[in-house]
Amino acid sequence: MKNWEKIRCSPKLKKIQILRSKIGDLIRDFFKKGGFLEIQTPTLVKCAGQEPYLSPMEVHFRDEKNKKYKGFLITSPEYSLKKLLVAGFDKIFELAKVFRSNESFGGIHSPEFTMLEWYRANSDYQQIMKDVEQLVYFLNKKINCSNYLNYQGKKINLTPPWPRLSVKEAFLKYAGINLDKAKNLKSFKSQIKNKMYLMDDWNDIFYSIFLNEIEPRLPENRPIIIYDYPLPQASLAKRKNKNSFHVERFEVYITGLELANAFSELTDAKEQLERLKQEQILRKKMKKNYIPIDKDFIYALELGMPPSGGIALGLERLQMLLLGIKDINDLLIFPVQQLFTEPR
Amino acid sequence: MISTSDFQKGIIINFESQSWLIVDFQFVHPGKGAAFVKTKLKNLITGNMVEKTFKSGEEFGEAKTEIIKAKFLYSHRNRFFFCKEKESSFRFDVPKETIGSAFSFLKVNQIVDATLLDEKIINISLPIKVFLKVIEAPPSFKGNTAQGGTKTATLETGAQINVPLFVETGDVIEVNTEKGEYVRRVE
Repeated sequence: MKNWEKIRCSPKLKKIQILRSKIGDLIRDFFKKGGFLEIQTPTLVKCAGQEPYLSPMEVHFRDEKNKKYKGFLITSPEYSLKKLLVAGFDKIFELAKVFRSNESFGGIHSPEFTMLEWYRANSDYQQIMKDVEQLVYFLNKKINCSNYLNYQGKKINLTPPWPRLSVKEAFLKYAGINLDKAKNLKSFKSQIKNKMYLMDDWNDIFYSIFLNEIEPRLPENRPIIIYDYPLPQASLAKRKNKNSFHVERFEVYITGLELANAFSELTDAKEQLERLKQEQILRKKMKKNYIPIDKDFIYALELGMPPSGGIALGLERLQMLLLGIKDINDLLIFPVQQLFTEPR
Repeated sequence: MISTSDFQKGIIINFESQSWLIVDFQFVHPGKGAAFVKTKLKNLITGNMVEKTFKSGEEFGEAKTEIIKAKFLYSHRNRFFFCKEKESSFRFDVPKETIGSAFSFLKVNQIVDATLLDEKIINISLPIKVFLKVIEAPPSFKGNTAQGGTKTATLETGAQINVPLFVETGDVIEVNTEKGEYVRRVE
């Protein structure tokens, strides 16, 4: 049965959709009360994100004179939202539909999902940590009337502040690896005892260790903020200081589920352009589709972006946590799995 | 070779010179990293369960297994007895764990796939679709949707599952054995 049919004969499933809508309303209340402006930026863009490990979906279309254009569906609205920080908006948020190819059709992934992003000008990732704690705590209080979240048999205390663990501490504590002595592939590999992790890419080793050694050992009764990522994992984050190996980036995990990723935003146009060029080279090496660099974004940084903090949070994952749902295909009304693989 | 994209519950991979049965798996794609596959593996020698996360695209040696068609005969004290489909004198039995949660949909004469590794039965898998008769479904009254529009029915194998209100005693329904869910009414 398709999900919409199941809803037809189940008030319980209908209730889940009503609560999803309520969560959307509460998110808007939360940000509007905090003085944030809701913005809508385009889903169809000329230059998608350059991240080497993501696969943006290509779109081909024509204008009224039949001239061909090629664009992409966004994997995140971040470039547009940062241009708006430069334009002079200082507290903004968006609930954006985002698209990623080469993702699993279900479980904790879907090729189409919703990203909640918010940005604060004249701020940094420390303030964003506080925002995300307050937001999740507030939503759970309204939806489940408790300081605790019950998810898949686990009881999680959401009361802020949440425990924080730096990436450096996590690697040292759970995997016995000193990341300060793992700045390149060779020095990283020399510290590895388990053959399973001997790969030829710094980031692959990083995540193999993270997913096998660290994530399964993170406390399950509290959310956790993992912060200060090493430079190869910098993405669009600002360095801690000029020559630091660590950047101001954090991730939020709740019972092992990666919920959100945040930065003190990189505002240096030159360094940003250099990183995008490096990522473009890496994409070519990995045989990923070519994506032009968004020069308009670089130009915005040249004009001057205020020091800012920003975050991307997977809305469906948050809804799954709040509503006790394990598989995203049981949350969405029209999951890609049913739209594209199940016949009628 | 078996790649992570061939992963399915019930297949066997060789890893660190031992054979492991994939009990469960899930794709995970960290926001800023490559895709990985989280797996629950059962060591086929020791029976130990471990959790391992592999990079998507990694390849593994294949264990030399053989799949035979077998017929379910009966169960007794949590042991399930089968024979080869075309050779009823070749009998074997397995504990409930070898079959997994789908055991409750096993009906006498049901044909299943039995996986053999070194002449030992290490896995039984039922067809994803099976047709089973409802032997007991509480009557439903018009407008009675307070219990979520579904009710619990008992099937001929003794399994209890949620079905829509219109399903009645004597109906034959299609069941998805992997998810343990009602799919549709057949007649």
